[in-house]
Amino acid sequence: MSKTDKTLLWMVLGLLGMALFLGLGAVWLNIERMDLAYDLRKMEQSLGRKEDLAAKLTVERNNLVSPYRLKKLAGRLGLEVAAPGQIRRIASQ
Amino acid sequence: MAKDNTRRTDHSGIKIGFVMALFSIALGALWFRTGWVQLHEGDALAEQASRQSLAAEYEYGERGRILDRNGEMLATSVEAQSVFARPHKIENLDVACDVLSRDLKLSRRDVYRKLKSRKKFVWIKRQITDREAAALTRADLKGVRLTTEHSRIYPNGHLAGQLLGFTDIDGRGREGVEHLFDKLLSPSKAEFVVQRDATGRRLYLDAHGREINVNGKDVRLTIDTHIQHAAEQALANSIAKYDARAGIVLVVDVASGDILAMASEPFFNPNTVRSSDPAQRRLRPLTDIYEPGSTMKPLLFAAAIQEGLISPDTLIDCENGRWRVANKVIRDTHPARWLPAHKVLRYSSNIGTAKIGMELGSGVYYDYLTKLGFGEKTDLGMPGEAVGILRSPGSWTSVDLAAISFGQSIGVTAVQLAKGFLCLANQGATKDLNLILVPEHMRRNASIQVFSPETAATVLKMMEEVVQEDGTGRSARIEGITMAGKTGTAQKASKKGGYGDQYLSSFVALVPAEEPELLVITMIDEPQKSPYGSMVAAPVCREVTVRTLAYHGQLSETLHADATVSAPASALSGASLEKAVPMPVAPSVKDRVPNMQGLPVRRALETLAGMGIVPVLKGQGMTVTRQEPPAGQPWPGNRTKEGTEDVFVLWLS
Repeated sequence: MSKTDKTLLWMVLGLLGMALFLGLGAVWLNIERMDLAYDLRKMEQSLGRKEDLAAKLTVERNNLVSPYRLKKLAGRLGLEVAAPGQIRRIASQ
Repeated sequence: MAKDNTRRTDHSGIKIGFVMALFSIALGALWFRTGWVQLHEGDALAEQASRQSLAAEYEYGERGRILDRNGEMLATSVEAQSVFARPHKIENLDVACDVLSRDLKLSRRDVYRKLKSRKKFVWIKRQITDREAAALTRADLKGVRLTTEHSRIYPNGHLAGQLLGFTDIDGRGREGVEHLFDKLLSPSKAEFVVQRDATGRRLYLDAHGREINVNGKDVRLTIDTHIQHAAEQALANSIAKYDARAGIVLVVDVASGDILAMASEPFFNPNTVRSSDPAQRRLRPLTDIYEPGSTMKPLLFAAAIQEGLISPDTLIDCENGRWRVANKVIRDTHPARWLPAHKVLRYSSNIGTAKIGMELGSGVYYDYLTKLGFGEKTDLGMPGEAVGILRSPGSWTSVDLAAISFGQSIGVTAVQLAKGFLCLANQGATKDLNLILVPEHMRRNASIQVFSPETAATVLKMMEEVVQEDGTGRSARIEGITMAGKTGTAQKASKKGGYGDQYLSSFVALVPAEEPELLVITMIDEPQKSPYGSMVAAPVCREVTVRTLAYHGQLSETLHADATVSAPASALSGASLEKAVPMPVAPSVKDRVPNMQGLPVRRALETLAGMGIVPVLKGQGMTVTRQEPPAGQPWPGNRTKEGTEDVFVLWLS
């Protein structure tokens, strides 16, 4: 086998090896992509659930600090709206 | 043997050729099929494959929120599950009916009827609670599925319910702000492609289509939830106390024209629309027309002063409380003969006011009323606003003119009245009322100078007497602050014709009296236990004003209005003092009580506050004359009991 033929053979083998490597790489990437897609979907759903919960908690918070409830709680603690003459403004030194 | 061997025919070449031919044909057929599938059927098959592996998905945004002026949430949307069924897929009808009726608290007969339906899709119940949804998920019924929708929640219950309005089950605004800004609040829909695996699970493909904001826009009102609550509570107390039919409270910030509270009783909770009736859902300050009565008088006085017909001291014959105009008799509740104009307003004389109105003339007064905005909508933009009843002056008889002068025979809405008085408070120039902060409303914003600033100030001074002197509005007086006000006790037209025995009690308050910052209007419809504005409506105005001022930290420190009035520095700079007075110095805090006699009350308070003591103030004035405990005594032990008699007392003069 001449030197040129040997070089050609190595090149062909190299190309075949590269094709095999790239093919395996493509399969691996595809599997990774699918895994990522599943994870992303799960995270999207989790985010959606958390956003939904946050919205419900915000409503609950607003419900808890609504003036009607605050007034009731304040009444229970003996607090009421300041009457004229009961407010003192203290000047900062 | 060798002969035999040569005689035998060698078929191996043919066999190999045959096998090769077979393989070639098979391979060729495969190549042909591949080519056919790839080149000829390629596009169609690729489309079929993508139909299997790709799916369109829709994302629905949520409806925008409604916020108050401070960003407090008045209306929002949250995700809720809805239950639907595909009746043909139900396996065990009895079990499905039992589970659905038990978990969703529905009648079994209704559920059975729905599940027996021939339709492919039926709603079982929409917008169920999370607990109900969890129970159904656990039950895992075949043919019954959950889907996500957005339901509308109003966290403050009935607070400003009529103003907010409500949405239907499909999320469309039906009344109030929900209806007015339906397009802006409504969410949009985004469509994007997702990948699907063999089991039908959906995968994230790319972000295409997700970058659009599909949520509806927020709307911000000028309403302040705390002031709205104060107004609603004061209104509810008064209505319960006087057994009234309905009531209105409006609070307006004079500087901006912003409506801070718009309360309307009976209340309406938009969370429970189905259990409400139309009378509750009406936004009465805009939709209901009332004959306001004496609360209109200051506007007539302003017109008469502007025209130069009267001054506050012009004497008017009030006919000892009984005066006949054409065939009608006008009566006063405070009979008097000669009264100066400012006392006509202070004691709310109908006869005196009618005489001023007749002097002014129908055409001139009509012009003033139209300039103030009566007889037309206030441009708030809300649905269902009434224009009021203001007939053309040509049709006014002398009795009409007399009656219109003291606020009868004319129909106005509460917001029209607020706009009229906002003009007086705004130095005689009209100003638009605002209800929406965001999005900014394009207003005509054509301000007209109806009265001169001097006229407006004169009328406010006269209205101040109504509250601060012995006028009809003294029950609205707030210690330490001046208020300009006017009561109204209007007879209501009877359904049988003429005036009946029902009344509208009203009160208009402007605080402080000079250069007002706050306008409060109260109307109580058909109070049964007392009809008088001074008894029914004025205390509501007082309570709302006190709570609003307390909320803004603007209540006076002392109980005297005069003490809080401070002269401008420029006025004092040129004046020389008669006697040199040593500057009062706040005593330094030691372990003993310092001497506070002769100190201004403010400095004494600052010293005591430094020790955590809020003293009890006795007497009226700005200087400390006596103190308890006296100077040199140890500090009182229990400093936490604020305002108790024995902690620290300062006598003032």
